[in-house]
Parts: sequence; C-alpha cells; structure tokens
Amino acid sequence: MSRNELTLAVDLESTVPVYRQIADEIRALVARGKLCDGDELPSVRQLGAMVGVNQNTVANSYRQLAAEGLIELRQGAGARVRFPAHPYRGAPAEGDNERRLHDVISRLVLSGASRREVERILGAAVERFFARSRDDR
Amino acid sequence: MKSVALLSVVTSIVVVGLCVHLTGRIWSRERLFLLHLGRELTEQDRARSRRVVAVNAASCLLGVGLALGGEPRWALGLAATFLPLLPAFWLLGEMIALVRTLPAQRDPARYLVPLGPSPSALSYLSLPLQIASLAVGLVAATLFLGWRERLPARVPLHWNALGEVDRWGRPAELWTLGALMIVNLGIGWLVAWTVARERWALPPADPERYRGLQRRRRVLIVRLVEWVVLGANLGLGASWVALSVASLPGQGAWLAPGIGISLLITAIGVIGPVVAFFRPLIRARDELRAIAGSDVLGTRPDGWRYGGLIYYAPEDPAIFVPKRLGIGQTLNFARLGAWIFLAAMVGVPLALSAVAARVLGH
Repeated sequence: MSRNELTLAVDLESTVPVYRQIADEIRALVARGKLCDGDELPSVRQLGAMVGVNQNTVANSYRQLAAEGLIELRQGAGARVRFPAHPYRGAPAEGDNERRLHDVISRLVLSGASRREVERILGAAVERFFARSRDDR
Repeated sequence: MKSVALLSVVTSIVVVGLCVHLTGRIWSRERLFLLHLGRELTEQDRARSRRVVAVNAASCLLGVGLALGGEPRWALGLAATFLPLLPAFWLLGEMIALVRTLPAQRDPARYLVPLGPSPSALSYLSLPLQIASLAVGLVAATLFLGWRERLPARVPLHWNALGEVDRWGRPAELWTLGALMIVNLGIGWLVAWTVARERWALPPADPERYRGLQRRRRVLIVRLVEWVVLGANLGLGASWVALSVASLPGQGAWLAPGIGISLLITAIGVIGPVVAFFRPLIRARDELRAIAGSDVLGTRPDGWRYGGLIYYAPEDPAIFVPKRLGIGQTLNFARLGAWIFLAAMVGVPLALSAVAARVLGH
C-alpha cells in the first residue's frame, strides 16, 4: 500500500481530543507496519490543513509520538518514523495495561454486553487489527 | 453603430434573463435555486420559483421592448442598466429568504484524511484549453501589431447605449483588451488553485468511490471555468480585431458587424459551457452527498453561521472552504488571510481604476 492510500480517521465531535486521535492513528499505522522506519510524515502545518485543525494540535500529537520514540521531529516542523530503529518507549506498565483493558470491558458490560459478547468484540478487534496488517504487507 | 449598441443591450438582458430563468425554474422535487433542500418542495417554494420566473420574464420583455423602441434616451438607459439587474437581485432575495426557512444542517464530523499529498492545481488544468486561450490572445495581438502602423492617431474606444462614440483614445489603449484576456486566464488559474486546496477528506464508508467522484467534481468545476474563459477571450479577441480593422482608413463599415459578432461569440462562449456543465456538476454533487452527507467533507460543523451562509472557524487553518450551499468557494472569516484576500479583491480593481483614470486623464 502506498503512502497516498494511508488515511487517518478523525472525529471532530468525539470526546477524545483531536491531538490524541491523530497520535493514536499514526501509532496504529506504525504498529500495523504501514508506516516504516524512515517514512516521512507531513509537516504539522500540512497535516493541520488536511485535518482542519490548528497546527499546535498536530504539534502536540507529534510531540507525544516523539516522546514514545516512534517518530523523530525534524527542523522545519517535519517528522520521520523511527521504529524499529529506536526502541519503543510508550509501552504501558503491565498493571496499567490491564487497567486500560478492564476499563474498556467495564464500559461494554455497563452497556449491556454479556461475557461472551465482550470476548467476541475484543477477539474481533484483535483479528481485524492483525488482518489489516497482513493485507497491507 | 446604434444597432450594435441595441444588440449589446438586448444580449445582456437575454443572457442575464436566461441565467436567472435556469436558476429560478424548478428542476427537481428536492432542489430549488441550485440548493438541495433535503425535503420535497412546498407550495411556498413553488410560489418563490413562480415569482422569480414571472419577474424575470416581465423584466426581460420590458427591457427588450424599451431597447428596441430606442427612445426616449432615459428608457434605453433603464433597459441597459436597471432591468437586467432587477431579476438577478430578486432571485438573490428569494434565495436568502429560502435559506432562512431551512433547518440548520450539520456537516459530518467524522472523516478520513489521506496522509499523501492531494492532487496539485496543475493536474486539474487542461493543456489544450489553456493553449487555446493563450493562442486567441496571441493571434489577436499579432494582427493588431500588423495593423498598428496604419491606424489613425485617435480611434473610437467606447460607445454609449445609443451607439454614439463617447470616448476616443490612442490605439495603444486597445492593449487593454489583451490585458483583460490575461486577467481571465488568471481567474481560471485562481479557481484551479482554490479547488486544489480544498480539503481532501474521505468518508469512512466507500472512500474510494468518493475519491473518484470528488476528483470528477473538481475537474468539472475547473473545466467549466476554462471553457468560459476561452469563450470570453474569443469574444475579447474578436472585439480587438473588429476595433482595429474598423479604425483602418476606409474600413469603418466593419465596425457594426464586427462588434455584433464579438458580442454573439461572448454570449455563446459564456452561456454554452454553463448550460453544458450544469447537469453533470449537479449529478456529481448529489452522488457525493448520497455517500457522505456532504459534497466536500472537512469543514467544521460548528463553523457555519447564519444558516450556513458564513464560515467562521478559528480552529480551521483553511482560508478557502467549499460553499455549503451552491457551487464554489467561500472564505473562512476567522482567518486574517481571508480578510486580506477580500480587501485585495475590492481594493486592487479600485486602485487599478484610479490609476487608469489618472493616466487616461478622466
């Protein structure tokens, strides 16, 4: 898949801040192998214009990803993917990982999902994540 | 020459009248004045359309009648200036009143943003049409230069509505027509540039089909403008040649038919593309809306104010955004650049007119 076909999903009315949505989407593209080490990302100005948000919002996303070691910020406000060349520093602590997953499960249960449905939803999400990664390699 | 002046007045009345009629008449059950209402037309909507069509028809008939009557002088002035504008302003008033009755629409806030660059402005331009528009100017300029030495020191440059020459000047002033051709070309490039800068956002559902349709919509818009520019430049070129030939010693008889032909070329060249591209453009927009709920995704839903007429979104860095209702672009009035552009659009022609008036001694 060429970089021209890669897309970021944005929801301007989501409760998740846009800077986090952008960071999450780029992180997922790297995790799926769609963005590889050395790939250039648009400048904060370009991406801000494309998404329709202030460039400071994109700069926040890039700073977060840079802190995780996933990207390298370059002079002139550009950025480049640095994974797996650099070790990933954004992995949550083991307990934190479980806490986040439990939070997702709690919300599903409170929405009325049974244990079997929770297992199906999580399983399908994992399946889709890796299936997309395989398709694009 | 009086007949040419009358032809010019009648042509302008007919051209504006035809445009107002095509915009004002009912084309489909959910669309009025080019606006997709998102509901079926009501009796009130149909009455609006009937009023526009009736006012337009009455105004056109009266204008043509006064122009053909030719006397008194004030009647011709009325036909040349006020009557073509009346139906256009009436249509605008009905359109604003209609928009005010529509419920506020919310544009989709969820979309996909391609990471790659969007197509450049050059990719939308047609090389043959650009060359044709340039060639028209070059041919007219070359012919003019060939006759330049034989032209008298003073040539007629402007006529009043009665066909009397009301301004004479140096032959060099005819270069203004060439400058207008370049301005027309520039307008075409500006449209291609603003279209290319539209946000290239895609809906989560069926993004590839949307991408293809969006590309088609943009090409249609630019192609329409390129054809109109070519038509207008052909008309200007014909005027330039006609004025030059008719100013040559003993060739005055060419003036009336020459100007008449150039008016006809301009009218056909401008209206023809609008009529030809109207339906394909509307169809492309409808298909885009059917997929995504918007013909251009990516404007901020909370940015549209005053019934969606004004876009004011401080968070959005875009200066030009697609119009929510109707075809074309509007400005994001939260950006300083938008105000600078607006000031330039008003100020530059005013400054040029002031300079021209000073240079020409008017």
